[in-house]
Amino acid sequence: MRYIPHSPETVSEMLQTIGVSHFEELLSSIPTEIRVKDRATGADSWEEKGLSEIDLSRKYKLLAEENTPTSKIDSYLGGGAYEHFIPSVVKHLGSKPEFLTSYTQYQPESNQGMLQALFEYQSMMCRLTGMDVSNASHYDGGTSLMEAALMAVRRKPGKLLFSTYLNPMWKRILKTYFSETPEILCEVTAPDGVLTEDTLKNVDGNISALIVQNPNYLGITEDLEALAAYVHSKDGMLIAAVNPIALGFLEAPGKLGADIVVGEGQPLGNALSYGGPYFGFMCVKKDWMRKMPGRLVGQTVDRNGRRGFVLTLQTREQHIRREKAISNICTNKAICALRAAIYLAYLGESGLKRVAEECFEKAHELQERLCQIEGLRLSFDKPFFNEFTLRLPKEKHAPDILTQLRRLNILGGIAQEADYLHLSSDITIAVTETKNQEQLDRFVLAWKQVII
Amino acid sequence: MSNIPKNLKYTESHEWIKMESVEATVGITDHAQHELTDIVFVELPQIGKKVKAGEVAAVLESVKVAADIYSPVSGEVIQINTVLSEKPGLINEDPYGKGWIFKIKPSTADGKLMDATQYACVVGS
Repeated sequence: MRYIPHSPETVSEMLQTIGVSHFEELLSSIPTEIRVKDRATGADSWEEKGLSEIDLSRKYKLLAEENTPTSKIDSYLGGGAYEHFIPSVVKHLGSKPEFLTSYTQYQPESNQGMLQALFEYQSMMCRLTGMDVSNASHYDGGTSLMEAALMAVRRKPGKLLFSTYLNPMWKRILKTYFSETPEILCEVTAPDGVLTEDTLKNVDGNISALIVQNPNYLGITEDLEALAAYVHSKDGMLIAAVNPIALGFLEAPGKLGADIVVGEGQPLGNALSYGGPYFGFMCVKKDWMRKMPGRLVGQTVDRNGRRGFVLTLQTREQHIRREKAISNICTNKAICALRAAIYLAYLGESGLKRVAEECFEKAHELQERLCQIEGLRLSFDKPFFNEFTLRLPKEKHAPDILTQLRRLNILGGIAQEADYLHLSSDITIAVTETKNQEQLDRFVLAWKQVII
Repeated sequence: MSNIPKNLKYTESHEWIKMESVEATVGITDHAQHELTDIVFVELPQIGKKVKAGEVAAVLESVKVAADIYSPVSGEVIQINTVLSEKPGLINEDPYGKGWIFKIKPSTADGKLMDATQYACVVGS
């Protein structure tokens, strides 16, 4: 099969039409030193024939070897992306060509299999979050959060409140999107590591929404129920940004008063993969169904009464509503959401609960053992899920400690000083079900060595 | 042939308005509901909303399109047809009756309205 449809004759005809004698003339504005060179002659070559399969495999293997996958190093990094075990069924079913090639649904209803998978994804996300309606996914957690914030501001113009311990990357996304109205973004301090009414009530004026990341960026669980009650009393919405694995263990945010639930979906069956592709999820209460952005798959019957799946409520979307669409980011991450659906279906309710419990138990075991080491303590003595923040003795510099751990082939956690000046000797450590006893022992031992 | 009652005034964007002493009722025409096909959702204005003639006052969604409803006159929305939230199909069944959308208290007399004969020319019937 030819992938380049233009014959030499067509090319010369096209060049003639636009009055150019050689194709190279079109490239004249590109500096020669960055152009692709012919490997044999070293001459400028836009027609390079490419590498043989053998050479190409070698080239990419060498490039890939520059990565540090978690299979080669013991990683305790979290902060929004987590290393969870991915059962091989996820990769095998999720890579089936029938799903891969129906990725973009320009003719959605011809891809019944993909629509059914997304419908099941939505159904499971609703159950997981305790909400009524889920869309078919967003680009990533940050996009979901930003879209939720926009929904809130459209409902009621006013301030968007969030904890200083909201994921700093998400804060930057909010700042970018609201760069024309920065006054509505209101970062609230959390002296005890968590949001409380005490600090929230210092914010005056109209409140559009309170954004609560749970667990927050330091790993601490927030009191969603109390925070929802507070923001509702101010006629604001509660946007909960959650870790979906934690919902195997924690109460569903929909049952605690959340109006919109969003989050990063990567922990559900998607590899860390150097930061992407990930996907965002968004679930809302029924009242917000028509105000929610993104694609939405519905179940229906055809004229013969057979079950079928369709994209529904598309009047919210830009191909119908044009400039009045709810969002102009209509792409969903179908393949990543599909993997999440397979992962959730394979684990089932009890399986997900077990994963979450293991994360919780191993994280707590590790935290207790680390805090027995002299000089180490929790930055905030608060409940956490699978991630906790340790404070080192004052004279220790967190990045130095992490460098020393790195020499022992351990990625020890996230130094918080880059984002929080007052947390200069604090490290956030994430633990998942993937860790075994031997690894945890080795980690504790390594800490004993480096902290002395 | 669509139904165009003589006692109403019309806009080019296919709304009808029924002027009464101090208030006016607004809906969409039979022609409009037919073009939109089955209406599945109505986003009603808030009571008290002040609109200018030609401004968007409500949004209709049919199975194939979302359409803005423009206020034929300037004024303040004083009543909305809340039944439509549950039964948006009333607009299809009875566009000039039970399918009314909102009532407005006009602030000024607007001159751009058409009578039934003029509107009939617009829709070509």
